[in-house]
Amino acid sequence: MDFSHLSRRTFLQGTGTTAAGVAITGTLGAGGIAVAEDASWAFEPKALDETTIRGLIAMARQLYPHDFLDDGPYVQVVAGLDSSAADDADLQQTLTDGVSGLGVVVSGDASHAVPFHEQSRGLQLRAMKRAETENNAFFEAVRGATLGGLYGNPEVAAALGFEGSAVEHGGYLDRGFDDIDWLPQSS
Amino acid sequence: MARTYDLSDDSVVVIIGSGAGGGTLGHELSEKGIDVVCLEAGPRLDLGDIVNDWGEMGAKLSWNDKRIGTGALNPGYPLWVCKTVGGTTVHWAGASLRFQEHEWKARTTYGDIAGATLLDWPIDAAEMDPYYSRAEDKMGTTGTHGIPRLPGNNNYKVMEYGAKKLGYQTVHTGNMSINPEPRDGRPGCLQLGFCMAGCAIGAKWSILYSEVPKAEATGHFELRPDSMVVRIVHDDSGKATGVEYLDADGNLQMQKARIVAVAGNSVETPRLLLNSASSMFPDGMANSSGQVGRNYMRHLTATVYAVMPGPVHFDRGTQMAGIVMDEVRHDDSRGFAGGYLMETLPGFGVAAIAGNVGGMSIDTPGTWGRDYTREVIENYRNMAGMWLVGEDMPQADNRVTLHDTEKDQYGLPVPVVHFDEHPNDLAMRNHAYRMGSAVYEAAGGSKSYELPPFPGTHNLGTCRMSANADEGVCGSSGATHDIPNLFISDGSQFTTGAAENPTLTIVALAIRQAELMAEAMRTNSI
Repeated sequence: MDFSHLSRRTFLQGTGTTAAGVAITGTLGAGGIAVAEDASWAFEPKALDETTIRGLIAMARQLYPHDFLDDGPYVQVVAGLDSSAADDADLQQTLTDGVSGLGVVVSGDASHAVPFHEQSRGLQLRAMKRAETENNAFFEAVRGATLGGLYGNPEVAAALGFEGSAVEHGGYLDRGFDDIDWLPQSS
Repeated sequence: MARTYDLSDDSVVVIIGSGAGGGTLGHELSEKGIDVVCLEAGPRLDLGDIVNDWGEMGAKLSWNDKRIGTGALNPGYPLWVCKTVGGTTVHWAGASLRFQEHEWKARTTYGDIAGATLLDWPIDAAEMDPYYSRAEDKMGTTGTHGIPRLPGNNNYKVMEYGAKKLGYQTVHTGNMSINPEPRDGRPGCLQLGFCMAGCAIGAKWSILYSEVPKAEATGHFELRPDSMVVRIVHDDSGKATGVEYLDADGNLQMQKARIVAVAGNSVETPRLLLNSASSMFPDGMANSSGQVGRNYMRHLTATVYAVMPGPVHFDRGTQMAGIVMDEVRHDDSRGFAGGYLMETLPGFGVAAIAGNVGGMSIDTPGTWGRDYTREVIENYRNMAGMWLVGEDMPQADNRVTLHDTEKDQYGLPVPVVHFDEHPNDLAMRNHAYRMGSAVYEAAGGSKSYELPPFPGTHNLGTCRMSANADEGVCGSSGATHDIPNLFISDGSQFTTGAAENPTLTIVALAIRQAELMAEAMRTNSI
C-alpha cells in the first residue's frame, strides 16, 4: 500500500503494475533492442521508439539506483511502461515527449540535443531535476512505475530483504519471525 | 441451508453492509430466529482468494469508488476501507481493545475544549462490560477468556526493548483476535505477516468466514453480495419500509423491510441517509438535527519507521501484535486531552516503503536518487515500525457531504469528506512522534522517519449517538432519533472516538443492538 502519491490514479496504477506483471521475450527478436550485453533482457517494443526506451531505462536507474542490480530489472520496468503505452495514447505521448525533453543539455542560454541515455550521470541528473519541476506529470509517471515495477519485482524485493509470499512456506512460525539476535535481552 | 427471501417480504430486517457492525448484527439476529437480508456492495471471496500479495489484495479488497478528500485528507483517496463481504474485518489487523472507562465520558472528563463538539456517550463502561466480554469470546481475543497472548515477532521485540528502556510498563503483544492456537474452527497463527492483506489461513477473526457461515447455518440469514443500496424508502408516516439497490447485474431492486439497519462504514452510512432525501425529509433521512455526516473522526494516527543496527525483517509475523499502553491514559500535564497507543506496524513491502518514507516524511534525502536508495531503501531489512493511534477531537465541520455535480458509476453523487485537525490532535501527534522515535533511539536506532496519517482506516462518528436528539443522529440503541425502525449499526455511531482500535467496540455494540432490536420486535414496539 503505497500512499505517497496524492492521487488515487497513481495509487491504483501502482497496484496494477505489480499484479499485471511484465512479459519479457527470451531472445532478441526482429526489431528488439539489446539493452545490456545479455540479450535475454531484450523485449519487443509495442509502442515506444528506441530512443525513448533507452532513455527510460537510464531514467529508471537514476531514479532508484542499486549497485547490486544490473539493467535487467530496470528494463522490465520500461517493458511494463511500453505495454501500458500500447493501450494509452496519452501515456505514449507523455513518455515520448518527456524523454525528448530530457535529451536537451542546457548550457548558458544555449540548448544542445544529446540523447538522454548518452549523457553523463551528472548531466542526466540535471535533466531529471529539470523535468521534476517543469514536466512533473511525466516525471511522476515514470517514478511511480519504477517504484511499483522495480520494488514489486520479487527478486529485487528479496535482495532488499522482503521475502514475499509466506503462506506456501508455512509462514514464519518456524522460519525466524522472532530470530532477532543483536538486541540485548530485555528484562 | 442459507435461506432466501422474497423482495416483497416486509417482515425481514434489512442490514446494509456486512462488516464488523452489519455482519455481527446479522449473525446475532439470525441466532435469535429473526430473518435477515444482508446487502453487501462488494463481492464474496473465500480463503482461496486471499493471497500474500499487497498489490493484488489492495486491488481485490479496497473500496476504490471515487471519493474526494478535502482539508488534511488525501484528495484522491481519503479512506482505506474494504468493499467485500466482511468489510474491513477482512483487512483489519486484529487489535481488539476495550475503551477505557473515562473515554465513555469524554465531555465530562476532558471538559469544554474550544472547537471540539465533545459529548458523553449515552452508555457507559459498566453497561458495555458484558457485551465486550461476549465480543472477545466470539472473536477469540488473546489475553481474554483464558486465551494466551501471541508470541512477539522481531518488530515487537525491538519496540519492547526500547519501550522498557524508556521506563514504559504496559508493553505486551496486545489483545488480538488472532488465534495463537486453533479455536472455534479456525487454525492457529502461522506468523505469515500479511494480516492486513487478509489472513490466508483464517487464523484472524473475520466476519467473512467466522460469522457469515454461522449466520447462514441458522436458516434465518440471506447474504446478497454485489448489491449496492442506493436509497432507503419510507411510508407516509415516515417509517422506513425498504431499500432500493442495484443488484449484481445493475438492475434496480426494491427489498421491503420491517427494520433497516445501516452499516456501510462512516462515509457510506451518512451518504446513504443523505441520498435518501424525499419531500418529507428534504435534508436526508434521520437528519432533522442536521447532524448526519458531521463529526467525522479518523483517530490521531501517525507512523514512525526507524533504521536499526541489525536485521529486523519486520514483515515476518503478526503485524500488529505489539503494544505500548502507557500513553493511553488521560493526563492533562502532557498538553493534550485523551491518549494514544503505540502498536507495531511493518511497511507493506519494499515498494510501499520506498514510496511512503520519501513521499511522506521530511527527513530523507529527497524521494529518489542514490542518497535516497542508500539511506532508506537499502536499509529495508533493518527497519522497525510502529503505528501511533489515539483519540481525535470531534468537530462539527469535519463531515461527509455530497458533491454537487459529480456522480459515481452507480449514478450517485460522489461523497466529499472534509477533515481538518484540531489543535489537540496536533499536540498529541507531536508527543507521539517524540516518544515513538525515543523508543527506537533507546533500542539503538540510527534514524527515525515520522510519517503523517495514511488514508483513514478508523472512520468514525458521522451519525453519532447522543442522549439529546438535537446533538446527534441516533440514541443509545443505535435507533435513529427521527425514525424508530431505522438503525445505525457501525462505527458511524461513535459519539467520540476513544484511543483504541474500534472494531471490538463496534462488535460489542452490534451484539447489544441485536438484543435491543429483538426485544423491540418481540414487544411490537417496532
